[in-house]
Amino acid sequence: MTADTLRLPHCQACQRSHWPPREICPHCLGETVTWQPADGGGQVMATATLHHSLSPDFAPHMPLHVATVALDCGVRAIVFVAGGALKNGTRVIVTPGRGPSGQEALVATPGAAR
Amino acid sequence: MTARGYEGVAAAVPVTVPYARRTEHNVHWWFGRALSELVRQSGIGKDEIDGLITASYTLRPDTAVSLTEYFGLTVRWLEDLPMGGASGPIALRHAARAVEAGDAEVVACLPADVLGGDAFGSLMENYSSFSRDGAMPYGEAGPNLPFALITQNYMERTGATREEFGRICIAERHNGAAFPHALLKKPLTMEEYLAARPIAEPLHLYDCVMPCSGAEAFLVMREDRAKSRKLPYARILAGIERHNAFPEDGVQISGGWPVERDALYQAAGLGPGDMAFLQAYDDYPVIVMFQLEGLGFCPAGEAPAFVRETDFTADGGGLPLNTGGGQLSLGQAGAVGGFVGLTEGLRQVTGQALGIQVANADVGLVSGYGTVNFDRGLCSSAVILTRGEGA
Repeated sequence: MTADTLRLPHCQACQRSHWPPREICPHCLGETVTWQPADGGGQVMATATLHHSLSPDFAPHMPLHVATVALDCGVRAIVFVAGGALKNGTRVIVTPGRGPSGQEALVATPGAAR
Repeated sequence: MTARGYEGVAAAVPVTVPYARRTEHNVHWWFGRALSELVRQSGIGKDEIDGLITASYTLRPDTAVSLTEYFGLTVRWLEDLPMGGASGPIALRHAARAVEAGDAEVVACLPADVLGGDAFGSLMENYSSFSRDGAMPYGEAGPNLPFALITQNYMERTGATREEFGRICIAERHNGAAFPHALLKKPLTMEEYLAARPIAEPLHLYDCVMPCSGAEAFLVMREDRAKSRKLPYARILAGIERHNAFPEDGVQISGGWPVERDALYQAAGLGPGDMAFLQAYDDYPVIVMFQLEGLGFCPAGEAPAFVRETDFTADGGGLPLNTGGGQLSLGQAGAVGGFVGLTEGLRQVTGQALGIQVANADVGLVSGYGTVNFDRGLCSSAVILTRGEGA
């Protein structure tokens, strides 16, 4: 496992992941949720290009490309898109990375089919 | 599931406190203006109000409880709704059931919010834990990003075009031009709509509501009280709510209305074709399309064609939509946006429109939607209103 490996909250009772993070599993209400490595492969479901932000952290960095990705492990996440806009259905790899102002964020990079 | 109607219950005295882009007042003043208008217009004394239901994002650290002391109200039924844009129809159905059951005699339904200037940004930064963890790190504290994603996916799936969204916005502006309290009264042309600057593509400026301050209000009581006070009133034929529907959908393509639609129309004994108007939640035009589909005005995925073929102006003889101009004309005063359609619907069925009065507005549908906790609005609601005796 490297620093590039995606880690997600994972329920030890039902062995399913979820997002955003919770202390209780939304599938089985199990109480033992741990962060563990997850398959970052997924598919772009929707895209947006931000031209305006209320947040002073982001406002200087417009435009920003953002997507909803359905990960193969069964969760969906909003992510930054590296390297410009992607089309719906594009296969991507999601890894932990940095947003434009340096904060931790999930980033999708176009990737080969699984 | 079936829904049950509300026997002998009246909704009356729709109040809209004129909105403002900037205000020097705190939110309590806006609540107070709405409450004093209810008392003034109804002749029902403050001491007769024994139920209170509120909705507000900016009342914190105060709550509905605080308002009882602030305004000197002594109530035996009290509720505070966190459902944002869905809260109007929900307030009505909760209050109507309480009055029907005898738990309260007169319920004041009061939303108010103060959201000009920096207040909108700070509200959005503290909106929900999932939004803070899962959406805000991606460039935008606020609803534009989730609704851009929802809109883009909908356009891809259905072939919806910007022109079709524009038709909704332009019709609402036509209606809003006649509504005295609308902040945006200038007619909008398709050229202007299409040429607007991008905000969060595919959303452009005129797809987005303008944050502002405002308050709305109405009263719920027994019909006999409304009659004895000679108040024009509406009856509630049916009401539904549904939260977190279809959680497995990767991107939201519907609110909760399809789950409850049959129960709603069955309880009313009516169908979508019987509605003289639709007051739909319009934070973004794609959500109006969700309601046209979810409430059965057209099949799922076919709202773009329906929008092309339908006249939504209040005086156009088609399907009058957001007859007071909606939030796209009034501005969005936080949770108050969830009541805009309801007070307008009450005015229409009681023949008290402040702008364009829809012809033969005997029965109409009011729908709500709201609360983007992460990437979609979780709350959906709807009520069917009809003209009461003496209205």
